[in-house]
Order: sequence, then structure tokens, then C-alpha cells
Amino acid sequence: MRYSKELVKGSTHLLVLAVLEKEDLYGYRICREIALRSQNELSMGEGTLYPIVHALEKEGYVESYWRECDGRNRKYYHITRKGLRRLKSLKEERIAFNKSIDKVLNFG
Amino acid sequence: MLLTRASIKCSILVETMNKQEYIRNIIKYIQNDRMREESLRELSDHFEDRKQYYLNAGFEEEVAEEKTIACMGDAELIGTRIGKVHGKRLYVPLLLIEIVLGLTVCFFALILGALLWSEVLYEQTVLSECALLVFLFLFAYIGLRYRYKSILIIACIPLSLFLTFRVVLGWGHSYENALLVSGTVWETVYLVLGKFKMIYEIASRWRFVETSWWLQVLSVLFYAWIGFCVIAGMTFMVREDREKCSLRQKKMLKLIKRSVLALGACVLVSGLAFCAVYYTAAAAARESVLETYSGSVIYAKGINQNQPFNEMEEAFISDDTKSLTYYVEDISIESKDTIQLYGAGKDGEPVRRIEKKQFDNNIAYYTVIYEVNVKTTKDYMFFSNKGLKESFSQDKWLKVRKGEKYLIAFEEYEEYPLNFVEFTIQ
Repeated sequence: MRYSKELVKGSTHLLVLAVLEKEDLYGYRICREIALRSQNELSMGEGTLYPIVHALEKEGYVESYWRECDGRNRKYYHITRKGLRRLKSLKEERIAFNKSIDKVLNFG
Repeated sequence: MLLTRASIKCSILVETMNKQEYIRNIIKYIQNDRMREESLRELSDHFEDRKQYYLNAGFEEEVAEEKTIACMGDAELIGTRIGKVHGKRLYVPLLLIEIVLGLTVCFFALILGALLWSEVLYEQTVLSECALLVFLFLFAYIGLRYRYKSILIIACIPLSLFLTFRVVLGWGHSYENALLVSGTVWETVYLVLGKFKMIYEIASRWRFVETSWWLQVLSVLFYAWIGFCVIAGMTFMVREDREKCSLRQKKMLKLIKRSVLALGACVLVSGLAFCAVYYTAAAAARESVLETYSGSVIYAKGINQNQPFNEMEEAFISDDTKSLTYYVEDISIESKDTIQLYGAGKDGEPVRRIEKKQFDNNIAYYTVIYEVNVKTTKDYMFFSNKGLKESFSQDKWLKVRKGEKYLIAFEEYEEYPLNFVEFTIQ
């Protein structure tokens, strides 16, 4: 199922922070992880991913570091405590939002 | 899908672009130098990963690269979005702040300074102000290239250095310096704190108000340390961003950077506090002396006991002048005509007067030394009423004391001076 751009747009921060919650990942792996977890229903392009992770880093929600992996130096992203708090609040917000949407859709 | 628009747009470009061109097309939209370099590496890695995915799926290398470019999307779109996050290299409002700060420094250094400073101090301080201007813009430049939030620190430190360096340079001339800054910082400090006599007493006890070489050295070290902290802090800041560090290294660098900056800030604050106490005490001392002696003739004594002539001299403090001034009468030489005292002084005078200016409790003291020139073709010995002073073979400027008798003797015979001249400085 394909989702409209507007619908996904509001969830990009949540998606990135969510995949970084368990482990540190580099850019390409973040894309892959989102696709994997959503069973290829969601994908995030580079034009969306990198501005988002860079913005998250600038705001202190994630921090980056370089680590060698498979013979190549990769820039990994690590979620900070501030990022975890943000993720928690985004999750709560999302759940509440979905409930509100359901209420509207199932009214009557 | 998020990628849809980008993928469609980019598929047109695929045929004419290779990896290098594609990545270059992305990063040319990133105006921040540091992020451009870092994004180049990051996107290259990403490109390789995605290409590898297609290679593993059985595509030819060329096709895999084309598919990767198509999949990654429009270079301009990616570049502008990343560039937007990191902003431009120069932040105009911050640049304006720096310009305002620079002009402030110029105003104090070149205009106010010219009005208030003595010539010597003016020369000394203008040089220092110019050096500070270089510092200011150097730090500003570094700051503008990197972290936005660093700007505040960077903007504050040169201004603080501007004030403190001036204090260091003017340490030996603290009275003039106190006058110089009276309209700016120290006057306020004095007004607030100068009323508390305790501060002056404490400062006096610790000899803060006396000018001494070790205090000057200490103060220079003090501010050199501040400079070091700033530079080290900046270095760490740059290193942390630029180098390929592990997360642990990065955290450690961040911690060190913050510690160094905090330490620098502490030293700076304590340095300023130290100066505040110094000037408060100095101003209080000056006030005290002026209140006591204003308008009256006093007798002051040279402060350096090693000087040959530290007898009491007449001095006068006027109501409106804030310095202690000596009025020394011209002197003449009376001698028996056995030996000639030549006028080898600057203006042909036989005796020359040297004024030594020194400071004690921020009051200028002028100590006067007399020298008499003795020219002979023979070896001679120079006696004062305290005994043998020195033995000379050539003409020499000899330090003499007003009102005392001196004897110059020639050694025509080894043990007994036969020929001598006695003279008195009147």
C-alpha cells in the first residue's frame, strides 16, 4: 500500500528516531531498516533522510560518529537521551492522534 | 512515497552522470564548508551501499550505478535540503554584531584613546588594540564558519581581552590607565565598590596596589592563559567536528572542550575581579592622598631606597591636578679652579638632571638625580663625604648629591693623592 506524501511527512522524525532507538545506524541502514520494518510499505529517500538526520543532530536528538564497518568508514547516528525523550513524546502524540482519527472515522 | 517526485526527476539525468558528478552536484548546494566535506564522504558511502545492493541483485556495474542515481533522487533537491539545514557559511546578523564590536574597539582605541592618553601610552596601546582587532576578527571568522552558538562566546572574549590587555599594558602606569577607563568600566566599579574601605585595606595588605615586576609577570601569564584557553577551546571545537572520532572520543573531546572553556571563563572572571579590586584600591588610595594634601606643599620621599639621592624634595599637589609634581630648582657648581668641570650635558651644562618617574599607590613620584661630568686626561679617584666612591681613568658622568662636598683626586703618586679638587653641588 502506498501512502500519500503528506501523510508520511509528519512522521519522518518519529520513524528515524524509532529505528535508532535500539542500535546505532548509518544513513543507508536507516533507509533499509525503515523499509524492512514496514515490510517495504514505507521508504525514505536520501533527499528526505539526510536533511532529517542532520536536523536531528543539530537539535541534539542524535549525535554522529565515524566507525569502520565492512572495511569502510561510515557515519553512524546515535540517539541521545534528549532524542529518547523526544521519541517517547512523539510516540505518545502519534497514538493519541491515531485514536482521535479513529474516533472521527468510526463516529456513530 | 517520499521518493516518488525525486526519482522521476532524476531518472532523466541518469544517462549523463557518474557517481563523482552526482555527488558533486549534491554538495555544491551545501554552503557550509565543514558539512560539505562531511556530506561528501557520507553520501559517497551511501552511494556505494546502494550500488552494492544492485550489484548483489545481479546488475552490471554501469547499470547498478545508474539505478543508484535514479533511486537516490534529484541531486539539487538533496543538496538544497541538506544545505538548508546547515545554513550559509556567513550569518549576516552575526557579521553585523562583529562589525559593531569592531567599531566599538576602534572607537575606544583610536578616538577616545587619542583624547585621553598620554603620547607614550597612546603608542603602546594603539598597537595592542590593533592586535586585538586581529584577534577579534580571527575568532569571529572561525566562529562564523562553525557553530552558531559559539559566536556569543567568541564575541565576548575579544572584548574582554580588549579591556584586560589594556590593563596589563597600563599596569606600570596605572594612574593614567585608571583615568583612561574612568568613563567606562572602572569608574562604575569604583563607584560601587570604592566606598568600602575594607577592599582597599585588604588590597593594601596583599600589596595589590604596588607596582612590582612579579605582579606584571603574573598578570601577563594570567592573560596568556586566557588566550591559551580560548585557542585550545576553539581547537577542540574544530577537532570534534572535523575528525573522524568514535563516539567515546567525541564525548571526551566535548567534555574537554567544555572544561577548557569553563576554566578560561573562570580565569577571565577572576582576572577581571582582580583588576576591579586593584583599581578600586588604587582609586581609593589616590583619593585618600589627594584629600589629605590637596592644595598644600608637602615633602615627599623617593620610594626606591637604592637610589643615590632620596632626600626630601619639595613637592606640590594642586587642587585640580591629580599628580604629584616636583619643582626642583636649577643647580650650579662651585669648585676651586684646579680642575675643570666641562659642560658635556645635553645643552652644554656641566651638570645634568635626570628625572625618574615611579609610581606608588598610583601616585607619580619624580625622583631627581644629579650627575656631574668630570673630564681629565689623568686617572682619578672620586670621593664623597662617605669615602671612596670609584676610580676612573676616563671622563665620566658621576652621580652627585645636592649640597654635598665631593673630592676628585689624581694619583700622581701611587699612594698619596697630591692634586685634588673639591666641589659642591648647590
